[in-house]
Amino acid sequence: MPTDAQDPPTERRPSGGGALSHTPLTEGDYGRLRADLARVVAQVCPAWLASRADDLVQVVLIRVVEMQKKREGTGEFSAFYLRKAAHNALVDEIRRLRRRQEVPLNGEIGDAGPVATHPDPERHSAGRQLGRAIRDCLQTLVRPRRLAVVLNLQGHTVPEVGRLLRWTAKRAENLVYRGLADLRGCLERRGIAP
Amino acid sequence: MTEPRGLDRLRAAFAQPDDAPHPDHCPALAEIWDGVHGKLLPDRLREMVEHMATCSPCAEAWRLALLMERPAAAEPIDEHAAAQTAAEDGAADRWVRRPRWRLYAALAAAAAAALAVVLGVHDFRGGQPPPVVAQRGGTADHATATRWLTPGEAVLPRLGARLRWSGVPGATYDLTMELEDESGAAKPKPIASPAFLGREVTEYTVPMADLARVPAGALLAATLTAHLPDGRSESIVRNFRLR
Repeated sequence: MPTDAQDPPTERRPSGGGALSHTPLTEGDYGRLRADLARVVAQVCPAWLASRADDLVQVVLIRVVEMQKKREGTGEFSAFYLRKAAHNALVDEIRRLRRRQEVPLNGEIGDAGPVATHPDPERHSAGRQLGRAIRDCLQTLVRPRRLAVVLNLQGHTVPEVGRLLRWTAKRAENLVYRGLADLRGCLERRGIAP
Repeated sequence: MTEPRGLDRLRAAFAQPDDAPHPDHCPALAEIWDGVHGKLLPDRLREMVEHMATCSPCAEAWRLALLMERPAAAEPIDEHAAAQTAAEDGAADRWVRRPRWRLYAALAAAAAAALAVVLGVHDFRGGQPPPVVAQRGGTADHATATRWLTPGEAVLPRLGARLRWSGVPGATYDLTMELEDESGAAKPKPIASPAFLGREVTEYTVPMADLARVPAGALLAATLTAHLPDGRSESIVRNFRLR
C-alpha cells in the first residue's frame, strides 16, 4: 500500500473536523489523505476489489485533485473539504466498480484475488443471513433504541452515540444496551444465535 | 478493551451488503459526511440513521466516512466493563440500586446463616458489588441462568399485571419497571414502587396503583436482576405493553 513516507515533513495536524475548515492545504494534507485512503480501502475493501485497492486510491486522489482545480479561485479548498471530497469520490468509485462487475452488492464473487480474509461461502452466506435478520429485527425496536443500536453497529462508541443524538451519556448507554438486548432477543426468537 | 465476540459478529453482519431493494431518497454523500461529523440538525440526523437501518449502501458510506476520521477501526464497546459500570453507576439515577445495597447490609448484619453464605463472596470483595455475568443483553459468551417466562411484548392487564421468570434455586431478585417514551423525547420513568428487592419468589404482580397514570398501550421495560447463590449477579431485560 502506498504511504506518505516520501512526502516532505510537515507539521502534523489532526484530520478532519470543522476547526480546519479554513486552513490552507499543504503537501502534507495530501500525503495524509493518501495514507488514510489506503488504510480505509484496505479495511473495507471487498475481496473482489482487493487487487485494485491501489488503483482505487489513485483514482480517488485524481478525482479530488480535479475537483480542487475546478474550485480554484471560487473558494477555499480546505483540509476538511479535501477529506469530504475524497469520501465522496471513494464511495462513488466503489459503487461504480460494483456496477461494472455486474455483481450484486454482496460483491464477493468474481475475481476474488489474493485475499486471506475471504470467507468460505457457507460462512459468508450465514453472515448475510444474519445481516438481513438484523435489519428486520431493527424495525421491531422502539425508535430511540433503534437509533442507538444502528449507530453502535456502525462502529460508534456509546459516548459518540450520545453526542451525535444529543443524549446524556447515561441515556445513550441505557438505550444502546437495552436495544442490543432487544435485538438479540429478536434474533433468538428467529432461531439465530447472535 | 477487548472486542466482545457477540457485538463483533453483529457489527460484521450488519456491514454485509444487502441485495434487497433499498429505500428511495438516499441522502447525498455530503450529507452523510456532515452527519458523521455532527453537523446536521437532530431531526435530520435521526431520519438518516433510520434510513441506514435498512439501506446498506448508505450505511457503508457512513462507515467509510467514520473510518476516514479514525486512526484505527471503530473502538468497540467493552460490554463486560460497561455492564460493571452500569451496575455501579446505576445507583446515581436508578432508585433500585441504592436500596439494594442497603438491603444487603441489613441482611448481612442479621447474620442469617444462609445469606451469609450467599453474601460471603460479596463481603470478601471489600463491599464491591458482585460481578455481573450478563447485563442488558450480556455477551454471547454467557448464557443467563435466569429467564423470562412471560413472553416479550406481552400485553399486561392493569389488574393483575403479572411477570414471571425462572432461575436457579437460592437466587434472589430485584425488579424494576420503567415507562419508555417511544419518541425518545423523554427519559424512561420508573413506574413500580421500590418494593421488589431481594425477593426469592419468581413472579411479581405490578400493583394497579403503579399503573394508574400509565397510558394504555405504553411500553414498559422490565429489568430483572438475579443474585445467584455463588455470588454473581445477572440482569435480563424485557419489554411489555400495557393493555
